[in-house]
Amino acid sequence: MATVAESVNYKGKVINFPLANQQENEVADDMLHENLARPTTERTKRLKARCRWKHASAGEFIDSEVRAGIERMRFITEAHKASEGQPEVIRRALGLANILNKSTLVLQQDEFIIGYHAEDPEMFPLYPELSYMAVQDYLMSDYSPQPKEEAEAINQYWKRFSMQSKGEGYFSKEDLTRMYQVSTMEAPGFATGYNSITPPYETILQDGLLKRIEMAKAKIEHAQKEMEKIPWNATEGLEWISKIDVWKAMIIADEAVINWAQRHARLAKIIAESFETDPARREELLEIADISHRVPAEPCKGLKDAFQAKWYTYLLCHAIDRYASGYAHKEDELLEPYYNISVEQKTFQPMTYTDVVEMVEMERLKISEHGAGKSRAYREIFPGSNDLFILTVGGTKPGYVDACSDMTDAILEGARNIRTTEPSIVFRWHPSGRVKTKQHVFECIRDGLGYPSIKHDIIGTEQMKYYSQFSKNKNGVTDDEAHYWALVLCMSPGVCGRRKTQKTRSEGGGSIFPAKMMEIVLADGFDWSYSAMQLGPHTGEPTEFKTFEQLWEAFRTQYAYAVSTVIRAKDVCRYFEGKYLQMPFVSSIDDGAMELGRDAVELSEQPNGWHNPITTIVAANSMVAIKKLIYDEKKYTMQQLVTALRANWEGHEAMRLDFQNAPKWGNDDDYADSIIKDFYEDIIGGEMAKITNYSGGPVKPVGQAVGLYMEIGSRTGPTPDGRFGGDAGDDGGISPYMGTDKKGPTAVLRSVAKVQKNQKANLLNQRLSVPIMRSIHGFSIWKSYMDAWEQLNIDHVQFNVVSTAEMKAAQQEPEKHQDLIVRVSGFSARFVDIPTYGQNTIIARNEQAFGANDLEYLNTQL
Amino acid sequence: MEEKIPANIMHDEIGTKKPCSSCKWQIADPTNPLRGQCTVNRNAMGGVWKRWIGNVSDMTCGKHEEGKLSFREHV
Repeated sequence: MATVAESVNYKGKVINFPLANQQENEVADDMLHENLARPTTERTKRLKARCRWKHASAGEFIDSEVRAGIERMRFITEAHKASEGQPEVIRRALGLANILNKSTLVLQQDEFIIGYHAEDPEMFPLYPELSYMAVQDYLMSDYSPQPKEEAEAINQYWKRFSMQSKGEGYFSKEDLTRMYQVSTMEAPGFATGYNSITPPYETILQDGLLKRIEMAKAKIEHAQKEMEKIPWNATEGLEWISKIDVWKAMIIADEAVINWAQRHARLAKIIAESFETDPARREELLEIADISHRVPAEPCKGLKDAFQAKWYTYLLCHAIDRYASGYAHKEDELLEPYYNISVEQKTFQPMTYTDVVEMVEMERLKISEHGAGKSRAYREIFPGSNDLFILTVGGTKPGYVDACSDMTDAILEGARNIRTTEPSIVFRWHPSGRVKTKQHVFECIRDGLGYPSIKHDIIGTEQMKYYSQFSKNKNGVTDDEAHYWALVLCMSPGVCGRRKTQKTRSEGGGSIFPAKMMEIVLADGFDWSYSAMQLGPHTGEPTEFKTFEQLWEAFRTQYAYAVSTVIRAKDVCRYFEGKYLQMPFVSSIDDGAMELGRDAVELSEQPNGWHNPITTIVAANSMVAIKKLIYDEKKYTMQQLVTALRANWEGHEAMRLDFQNAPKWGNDDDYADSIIKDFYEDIIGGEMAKITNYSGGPVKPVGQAVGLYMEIGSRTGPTPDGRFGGDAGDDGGISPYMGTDKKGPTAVLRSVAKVQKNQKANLLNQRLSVPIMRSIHGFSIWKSYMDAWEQLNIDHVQFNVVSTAEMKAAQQEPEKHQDLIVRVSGFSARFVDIPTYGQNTIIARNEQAFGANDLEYLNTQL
Repeated sequence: MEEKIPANIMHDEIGTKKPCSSCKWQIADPTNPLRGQCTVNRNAMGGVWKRWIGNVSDMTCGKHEEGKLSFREHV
């Protein structure tokens, strides 16, 4: 029998919580998630059953059949050797062309959206031009590309050309060693190859590549005429050379992409005409062939075209030309015009709403099957998922007019029906958003998917406007364009559209880890617990800190060093990307790059510098405990604290309990919150604001823990918040530490709302009561919570709605719980694919119920 | 006089027959595959308190055990 929430006395009435679906009374709590999937068609049911998930955890792939392919690394190497002496941007285009012209194509049973990025659907590509260490790690693993000798020779060939070799030359060995171990600082992008991008899908769908080729040709013709002008002026004339090369590279890349898509068309046609025995599938294959023959060469004419062109573009930008995590686009607005053609007007590729939901489900399964050739660090920190894939819906158009549509609803309904861990969804919340769509959002959350996570529409839109003022070429987004944004990865917003989008990850994701910094601040910058090395600047013996302010400033010094070093590494990487890792295909579909003749990686029009303090609350709670117990009450000395920490609290349990019971974040406690507010605004955001990055803007904090709160926790010794060495860090960016938010969900909101200055992009992780959310009052309570959240000007929130009983049952019998999805932090994961360490951190989160006080605060109408 | 490191503490031992690389408690460094992380320290709540291994080929300790743990037992 399912658990039903206890009654509440509210506004003089007894409120009962019967389940909204009475049939669920017969479903046991510990099997609920196994009963919620309902694929729209038999086809999507089959596709899900045979999906080749590529979930990774602890650096390893869960499925033993998954392995790296060799084709991409082979073909890009072949082209690199053959193109020696040519301009680098041309070499990059020729490399892409060689991959696309020679790669094995994959077309699977039941698929409608086709295309894959490796020679086998169990495989993923590698990128020796990025990090030689990341490839070396694969070569030493069970999933090495084969033949291994060939892969080793390729990696050896690229070592001197790689981004890693180029970047390493501009950092001391000491700084590299500190960054590579990922304990106070993330490793540089040149050492991991990790990347993110927001592709300008709009130009592909609206223009088609043939038009882009014509544009580039016209640009070259114009440039040549300019160069031939008499009298010759070198100060202007020579600038055309690099531009001509960029436009030529665009043409090479686009022609190769068209050819690649049309190879897919021919394959589908051959299968239809020569092998397929089912007449219905034969017709479908011919339709697939027709679509891939037309797109992305030509503009999309209907919704099927749009899904396919978008998928090819995704593969190119995120996996074939270069690896990039994410699935950044404003999917509902991007597809809405084609939805209207196919569903409303039925003038091309006529479809029903249900057909669209099936397409959404099929697209989600393509993402679910997508494998990322990412480094070990990134196979550790998104446990239980393939990679980060986050699309955005909802929000507003210019004038704060609701942007929700039936396409939005289809995306949400497909997600709820098929139940996949990826892609995650972000919903931009605005008061004008239609209730019908918010009900779909709720149903996904209520069913435990962990998405959509919610972003505050006005805050995000205003952030785009803010960054625009720092544009290096004075061409940042306009006020209208600022409304068209999506999350680039888990949390940081970035504009979408035909130009000005983020092309590479110098603009985000430099992670720094305050919990570990707190540990080393108490040891003069030395890491006694993990690496036994000086991990940061010497900031003094803590026992000599006479005042709390001295401790505060010592922490500031550690933080300032780490954040500057990490962002310097980002920008050094960007410098070399612009010279050796150009992306001619992306340039060809970016209106800015096309107009200016500049590579999209090198060009920056809209700054978007978001970087990630992760485990901030462990450090902040530690500050609170130290101030209270050592400097205010003088119950303990700093020497006693240092001694207890070095012993991992062993023999000091009473003292540990005092530190653990000191006021904690998330309880609307003014003592703790005033210190922590200052910690965020003075140090975390304040020190970042002093930095200027590649794009000319300041950088801002976007705390988003992903799985790093586990990894960093395991590399961090005991901390003054009462935590033991090795215990996980805090699981959000501004979330209370697991289990320490004891005053209910609205107290959490009131604490979080106190941080308002110089940052509004911190992840808030909350776990809500399953029986309440599944009751007849679930939507009303959640909606009133969300309205309060919006009014409090909080930037983000995401939810788990999953019971402890079900998670514990899954730990006992994982094979019976393959559909149990949980929100980790910024992404959702299959619970049984997460290490036990991580599973326990999710179980330990408080399951927030809503008492009468909470309902009063929210003014919930029941 | 140089302090002798107890055998159960991770230490350098060139040419050791029991290198960290073959130990079930070891997992690769997140960035450099020639380095590693030791996960043998575990607390009652399931916490894993790691130690960095500067050289997985030439370091060892008295807790060495051949093998490989499942992802479930790592972080």
